[in-house]
Amino acid sequence: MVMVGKWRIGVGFGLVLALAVLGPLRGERPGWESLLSRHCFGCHGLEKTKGGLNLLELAAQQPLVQNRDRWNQVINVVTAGDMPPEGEAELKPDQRRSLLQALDRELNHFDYSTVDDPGFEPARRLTHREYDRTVSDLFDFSLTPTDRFPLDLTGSSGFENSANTLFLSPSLMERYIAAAERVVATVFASGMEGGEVRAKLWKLAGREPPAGGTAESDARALLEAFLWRAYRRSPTERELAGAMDLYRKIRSAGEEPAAFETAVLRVVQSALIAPQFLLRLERGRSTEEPWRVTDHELAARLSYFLWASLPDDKLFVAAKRGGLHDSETLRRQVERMLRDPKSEALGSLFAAQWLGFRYIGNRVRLDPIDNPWCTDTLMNAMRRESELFFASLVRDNGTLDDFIDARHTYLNEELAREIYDIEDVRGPEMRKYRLQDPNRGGILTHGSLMAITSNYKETSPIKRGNWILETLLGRPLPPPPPNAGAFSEEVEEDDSLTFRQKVELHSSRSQCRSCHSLIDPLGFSLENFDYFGRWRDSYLVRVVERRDREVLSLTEAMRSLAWQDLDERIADLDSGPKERRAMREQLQALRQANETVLELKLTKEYSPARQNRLIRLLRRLDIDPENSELSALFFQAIEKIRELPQERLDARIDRLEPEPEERSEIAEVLWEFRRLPEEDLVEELARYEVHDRRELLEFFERLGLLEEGIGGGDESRFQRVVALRRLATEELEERLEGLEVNREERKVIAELVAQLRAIPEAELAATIENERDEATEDLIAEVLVMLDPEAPEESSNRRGRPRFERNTITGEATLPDGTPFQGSAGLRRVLLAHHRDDLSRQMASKMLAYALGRQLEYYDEPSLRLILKRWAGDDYRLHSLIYGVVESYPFQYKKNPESKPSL
Amino acid sequence: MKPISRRTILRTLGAAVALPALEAMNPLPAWGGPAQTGPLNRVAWFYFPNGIPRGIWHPEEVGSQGELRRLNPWMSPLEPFKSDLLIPTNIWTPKGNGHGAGTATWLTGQDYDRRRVDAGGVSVDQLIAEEVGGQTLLPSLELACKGEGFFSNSLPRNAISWSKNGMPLPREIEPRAVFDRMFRPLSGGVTDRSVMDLVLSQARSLRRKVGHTDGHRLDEYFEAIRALEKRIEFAESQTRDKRQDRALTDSLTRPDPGIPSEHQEYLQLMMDMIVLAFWSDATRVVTYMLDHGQSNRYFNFVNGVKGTWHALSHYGNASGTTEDDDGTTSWDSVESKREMFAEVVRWHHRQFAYLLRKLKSIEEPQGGTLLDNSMLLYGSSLGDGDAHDEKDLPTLIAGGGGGTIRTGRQLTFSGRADLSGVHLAFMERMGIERERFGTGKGAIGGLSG
Repeated sequence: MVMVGKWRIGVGFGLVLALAVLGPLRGERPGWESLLSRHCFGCHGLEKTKGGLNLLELAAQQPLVQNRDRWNQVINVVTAGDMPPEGEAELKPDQRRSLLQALDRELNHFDYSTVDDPGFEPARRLTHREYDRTVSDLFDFSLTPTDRFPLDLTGSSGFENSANTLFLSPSLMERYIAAAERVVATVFASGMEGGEVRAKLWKLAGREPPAGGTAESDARALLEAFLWRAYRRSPTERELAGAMDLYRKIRSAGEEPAAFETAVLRVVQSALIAPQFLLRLERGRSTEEPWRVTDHELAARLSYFLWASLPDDKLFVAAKRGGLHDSETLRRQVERMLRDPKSEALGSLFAAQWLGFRYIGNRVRLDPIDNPWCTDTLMNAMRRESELFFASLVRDNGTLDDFIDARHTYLNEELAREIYDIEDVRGPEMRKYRLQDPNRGGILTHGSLMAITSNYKETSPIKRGNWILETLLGRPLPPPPPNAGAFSEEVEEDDSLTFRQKVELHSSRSQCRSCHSLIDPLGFSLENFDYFGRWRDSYLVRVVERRDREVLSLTEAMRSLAWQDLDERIADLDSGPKERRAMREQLQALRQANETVLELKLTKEYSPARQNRLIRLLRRLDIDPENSELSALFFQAIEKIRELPQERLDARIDRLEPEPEERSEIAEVLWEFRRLPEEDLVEELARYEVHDRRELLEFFERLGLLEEGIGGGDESRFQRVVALRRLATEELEERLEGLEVNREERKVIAELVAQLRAIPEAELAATIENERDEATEDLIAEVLVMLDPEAPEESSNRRGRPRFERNTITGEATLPDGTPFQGSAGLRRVLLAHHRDDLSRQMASKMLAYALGRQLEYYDEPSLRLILKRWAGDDYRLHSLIYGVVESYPFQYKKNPESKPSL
Repeated sequence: MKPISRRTILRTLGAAVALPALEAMNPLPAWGGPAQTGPLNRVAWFYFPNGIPRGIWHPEEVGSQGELRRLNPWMSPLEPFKSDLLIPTNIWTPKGNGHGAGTATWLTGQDYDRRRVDAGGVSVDQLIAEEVGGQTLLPSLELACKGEGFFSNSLPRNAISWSKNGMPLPREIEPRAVFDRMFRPLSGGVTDRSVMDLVLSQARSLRRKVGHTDGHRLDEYFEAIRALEKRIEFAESQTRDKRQDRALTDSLTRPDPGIPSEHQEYLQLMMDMIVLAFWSDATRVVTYMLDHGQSNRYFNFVNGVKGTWHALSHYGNASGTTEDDDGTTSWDSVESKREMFAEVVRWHHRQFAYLLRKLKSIEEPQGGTLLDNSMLLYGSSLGDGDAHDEKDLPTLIAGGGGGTIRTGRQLTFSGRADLSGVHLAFMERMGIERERFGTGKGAIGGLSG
C-alpha cells in the first residue's frame, strides 16, 4: 500500500506536485491516474475545486473504495459524457473506456483480503436513552432524568449512538451532576428510614448483609458491588480505596458523624458523575496491531447493543469468569439476553431509527381538533406495533421472510379499530394478533410506515417507492435533476388527469424515467393504504366540472376593461416574456370575438382544464367577477332609470317616505344618472367602490328598479330556507364540506343551519320575518347564497364546490423488466424474490452500524460479507444475524486509528 | 464575625432536591468580576436560518458618508435604532455553505466535514470566550429556540459554536435553565471538594490507561469539570458590586419551567436572559440561534403569513413545497409568497428590536448603556433563500462595542467582504490579535468609521 498520508499537499503547487503524489502509484497501476491528472485536476484539485470536488485529494485516499459514493458520481458523469465538459481537455473514446474500466476495477473488484482493520470507535458518553435505561436498571427503578436535557443529535451513521457525535460538554456535565443528585434522592426518598435504605442497598447489590460485619466492611461490600455494575467492570483497588476514603471523610466530617447510609449514598452519587460511568471507556494499547477487547468490554458492547443498558449480573459473572469470547458461551448469553424483555430496545431504538417510525406522534401527527381520532394513545399504539413486531421477531428467531411477510402483528383495541378495521380486539394492551387479511403482512403494511411515507393527508407513491429503495433496500437513487421536482404546469393544471396519470406522464420524461421506473411501481402497489395505512378500495377523485358561467362572466369583465389597463396588469405579473406574449395573444383573441362566438368558444371549444387555466389567469389579473356581476345589475338599473318617465320615478321615491333633505339628495343622484351620456357611465361607475355600489344597488332595489333581488327579500329568503330544510342530510354535509371557509366559520355555519332546520314548520315564516338582529339576518343571507339550496344538485357546483367520484384502486404495477405484480402481497413477493440480497445486506449493515456505534467503512466489507453468508446459510433466521454481528471482527476487536492523511 | 464561605452554604444544602426559591434563600448570585475600570465590551451573535428574499436588507436612504437616513419598510421595526446599527453590504462566505454546512461554519469560516463532524476549527465566539471568559461566571452562553421541522435533530443545523476540542456545544433551549445557570447555585457532588478530588484523580489515572483517541473524550470531561470548578471559585471571590444594584436584583424573576407556547414570548424571554447575562456580567459572550438551520416552523401566527419558514424561503416556486415540508400549504403567486417570506424576516426584526430597546434602556455605572457597551451581530448564513446562495449575506451589527464601533451607517464594500473578516474585527475588539481566521486574511475595515 502506498503511504499517501506522508504527503502534504498545498493548494496551488501545480502539476509538479500532483505528479509527485501519483508518481509512486503510476508504477503499480499506470494509466488512470495520469488520465485524471491530465483531464480533471485542472478544475478539480489543483487550483480550483469546482462543484466542491477535489479529485486530487480523493485519488490520494487509497484504496478508492473508501470513497465509493463519490467515485460512483465521477463514473456517472464520465459515462454520460458530461465530464470533461465541452471545450476542456477532452477524453478520446478509448481513454474514456480505459479510465472507466480502471475505476470499475478499483471500486467493484477490490481485493478485500488485503485489508485487516476492525476499525475504531472513540470512547463515547451514553446517549440520553442509554443513560435513562442504565440508571433505571442500576437502581431497579423506572427513571427518565434526561427528559429535559439538550437533545441528542443524529450524526452520519443515522443512529443517535454514533460515537463521533456523543460529546461531553460543560453544560451537559452540569445536567449529569444535577441528575445524579435527583436520581439518588428519588430512589432513596427522603422519608425512608435508615434501615429501609440499607435493605434496598443490599438488595441492589444482590447480597445478604453478612452477619457480624462492621460498618466499614459493609460499606466496602456495598460499594464494591455498586461500582462493579456502574463501571461495567470490577473496580480497581485504587478506585475502591478512593471510594472508601470518601466514605470515611463524609462520615467524620462535620460535628456529628454522618449516618452510615448517608455516607454510602454520597459515594454512590459521586460514582454517577465519574467518567467510568458516563463514558463507555475501553482500555487502550500502544500497538499498531488489532487487539481483542476484554471480556468486560465485550459484555458492555453486547448489553448496549441488545438492551441499550448495562450488563446484568449474569452477564457480569460470565465476563468475570472469562471466556465470553468463546462462541458457545457468547451464544448462550445472546440467546438469554434476547429472551429478556429489555431486548425490546432493538425495536424501540434500532428499528425505530432505521425505519423511521420513531417520528410517529411527534413529527407525523394530524391536527387533533380536525381529526379527533388521531389521539396520543393511537399514535403510541402505532409506534408500539412496529417496535414489538420487530423486537419479537428477533427474540423468537423469526426470519427475513417474516420481517417482510409475517402473518401476525401487534394490536390493541383502538389501533385495531381505527387503522385496521378489526373488531375482535378488546382493551388497551398490545397483544399478538393473527392476520386474516391477505393484504396485510410483515412490517410494510403497518400503519406507522404507511404514515411516515405519506404527505399530509395524502399518500405519496413516490415517497413510498423511494423509501423502499433507500431505507429498506439500501439502494438510494441519485437526487432528481434541478427542476425535476414538479409536474409541468400543463400537467399540473390538467384536472382531467388522475394523480397516477400525472405521475406517469411526469415519469415518462426522459430524464426522469430511469429513476421513476424503479420508484413508481413500488409505491403504486401500496396505494390501497391511505396516509395512515387504512385500507381503501377506491379513492375520491375530483370530477372535472365545466365552469362555463364563471369563465364567461370573467371574460366579459375582462372585455370591459381598457386594453391599456389590462396590458399593464399583464406586465406586472411575475412571468417570463414568452409567457406574457402568449397571454396577450390569448386575451386579445377573446376580446376581438363577438359575443355569440365568444360564448360558443368558451363553452364548447374549451376543455374544463383549459377553462380552469383561463379562470386562474383572469383572477391573477385581478379581474373581479363579483364586481362585474354587480356592474351588470347596475347597468340594468340605470337603464331603467333612464327609461322611466320622471313622474313615475318621483312616485317611487315618495313611496319610500324620505325626509325632505334625503329626498333632494336622492333626486340629485338619479338625475345625474339620467343626464350622463351613455359613454361616460362606465367612468362614473368606476368612481364607486364595490361597497358603495352595493349600497346604491340596494337603494335601486327598494325603488323597484331591479327585476331580481340581490340578496333576496323575505319572501325569496323564506323559499330558500324551505329548500335548505328539504336538502338530504348527506347532500347538506357535502355542501358544507365543500365550502371554502375555515374551521371556526364552518362550525358557525353548521350551527346556524342546524337551527334553521330545527324550527317547527309552522313557526318558520314568522321566525324569519321577525329576525331583527341585523348580523344574523346578514349571516342567513350569506349562508343561503353559499349553500344555494335551491340549486339542483348537479349544477350546484358552479359555486366552485368540488365534486368527487370514486376510482377503484387496483394496486397493479409493473417492474422495469416488465414483470407485473399486484398490491402489497405482490410487492412482498417481489421483494423476497428479487431483492433478497439488497434487503439482507441493508438490514445487516444497519444492524452492524448500530452495534458498533459508527458508520460502516470500506474495511468492514469482509465482515459484512461473512455475516451475510452465515445468515443466508441459516435460512435468514435473525438469531444468526445477531450472532454474526456480535462475533464479527469489528465487534470483538479494535485497532488504533492511523493518523489520517492530512492534505 | 467570620463570613461563611459560599462553599459551606452550598454544602449544607447537600443533596436537597427541591431548592428553595431564590428570594427565600437569598443567595447572592455569582455575578460580577473584579471591579472594572473603563467600559466593558460584550459580544453576541444572533443566527437566523433560511436567508431572506434578496433586496430587503438595503436601507432606502443613506447620506453621502453612508449615514442611515431611512431603513426600508421591511426593516421598519429597527427604524428607531438606526443610530445604533451598522449595516455592512456584500458579505459572503467562500466556504461551507447551504443549510447544513453553512450553519455549522457560520462562526468558523471553514468547510464542514460531515463524516468527521468537524467544522474546521474553533468558532469565533469560543475563541473570545477563552480570552475573556475567565473574568465572568460563565465563559459563554449558547442559546437556541427549540427547533421545528424535519431537520430539528440534524447536528450541523444545530451547531454554530465549536469548542477548541472540536466539540459542537449544546444549546440551552429553556429560559429557566439559562436563568438557573446564572443565578442559582450549583448543587450536588461538584460542590464537595473531596468528591471532586476523588473523581478527578481517578479520571487522571484512567487517562493514562485509555488510548490516545479515547483520551480526547476524557479531556472533554476534565474541561467540563474544570469549568464548573471555576464557577464555584468565581462565586466565592466575587465582588459585591452588583448586589447593590437594586434595579438588577429586582429584575431577577425566575422564568416558569418549560417552553412558552407563544413563539414571540419564547424568543423574547430568551432575549431577557441575554439582557440579564450582560447586565449582571454573568457572561460577555452569547450565541443565540433563533431556530435551527433549516427551520420549518409554521408562521401562520404572523398576520398575513401562511406556511412554514423553509418552504416560504423557496418563494420562487409558488405552488411548490420543499422536501421537508408537510405540504399542507400552497400559495397563489410568487409575489405573495415572497411577501410572506419578507414578513417573517420583518417579524424577526421586531424581536431583535425588542432586545435593542432593553439593552438601550439600561445605564451602566461606568457610563453608556448596555447597548453602547456591546456588539451584536445579527444575520444568516444564506443570502437569498430561494437562490440558496452565499452572496450578500443579510448581516447587521448593532451596539457601540464600548466605543469601538461607529454606528448609524451603512458600510459599503465594493467587492465581496468575507464574513471571517468581520469575525476578526470582533476578535480585535475583544483583545485578540490575529492575522487570519477561517478564510479571512485580515479584519474588515471601517467598523470604527
